[in-house]
Amino acid sequence: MTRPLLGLTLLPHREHLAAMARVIEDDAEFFEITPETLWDEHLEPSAAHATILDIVERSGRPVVGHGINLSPGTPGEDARADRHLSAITREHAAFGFRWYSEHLGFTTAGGLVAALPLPLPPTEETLRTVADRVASLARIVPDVALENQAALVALGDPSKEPAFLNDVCAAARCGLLLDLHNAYTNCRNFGLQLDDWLAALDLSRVMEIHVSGGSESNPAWLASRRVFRLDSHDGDVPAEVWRALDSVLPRCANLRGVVLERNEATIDDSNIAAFESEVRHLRAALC
Amino acid sequence: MLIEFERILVLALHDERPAERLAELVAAAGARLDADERARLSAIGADGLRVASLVVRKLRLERLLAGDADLRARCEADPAAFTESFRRYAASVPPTFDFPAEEARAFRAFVGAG
Repeated sequence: MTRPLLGLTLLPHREHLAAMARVIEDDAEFFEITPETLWDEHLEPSAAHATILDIVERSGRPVVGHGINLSPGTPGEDARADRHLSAITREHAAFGFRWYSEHLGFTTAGGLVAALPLPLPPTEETLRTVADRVASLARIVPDVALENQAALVALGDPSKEPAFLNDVCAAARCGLLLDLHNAYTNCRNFGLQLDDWLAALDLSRVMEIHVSGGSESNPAWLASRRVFRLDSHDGDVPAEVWRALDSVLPRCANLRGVVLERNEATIDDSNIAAFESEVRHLRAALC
Repeated sequence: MLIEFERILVLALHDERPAERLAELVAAAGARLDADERARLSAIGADGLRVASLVVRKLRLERLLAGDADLRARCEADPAAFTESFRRYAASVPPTFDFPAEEARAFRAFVGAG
């Protein structure tokens, strides 16, 4: 097994790219881009598209696609999906994606937009819907992975989420993008043990791993004062997530890369040193 | 039907009273939801639904602000007044926009019409 590569996300945000310039140049072994962030409302390339494409072409490093809005869990709405898939086809021609991932969830339904990927009920109709959409995507980029979601609401038994992920990946004949912070978040929010959650997962499906941090909800938001973990990508990677990474790395036989994620508005000159330290931590874990 | 399940969840999350709205929508769905789907939606915890709704509505506001620099400046100049305009907008205009520029145009049209 070859060593998984260290990946960083290229976000179309000038200050973020400036602060990240050194790690982008020196540490990234591959880049992950989200095509939707490079499009205008007509799904055509926006001004940021050329900037990101230039960074990629100058680096000569591999690129993977990480979509957020194909909405693989939405049944029907084929015209919308076809427009989206056409745009992905164009981006694949430009960037040459090694593989392509999507969030296992839905972002649109009946013409309504959710604003973020929402969880899916673990049903047969869901399996069929996701498998059909992944098949369409795989005709463009053959290697597809689905990412486990962070959730604030459970649409079934939360302890059964790993089994559902195994079923989805088998039905869709695709890989898994294992987001360890999302798994950590769900375990925190639903009272589960992360080790148990990971033990129930078919790790042979894992094609890529995401590592990130997050934050806690404000107790004042709820009359109960209950606090939820949020997958906000705006904080340091928790120690539990680093431990989980060390635990699963030797068991993911088909893993290709690990991406350290961070939101664009949360990296600047004041905290880039801490982020670079996390990059070094990840590099040490992969070697 | 999965599509109805999803539509109801999205509508509830965009509402300022998500638990009450969810219950209303499930009750009104009739045969468009089967028993399993009805049970899953009815079992959603109110606290998690409330936090998810706050996140969804915050993201809609951020998308609107990302689509128009002038609206962003107006929000920074008077956050309370802008937030109140956004609340009226979000309660009146269905969430159908994927991209910031679309959301910003719809907001401008709403405020202008109001």
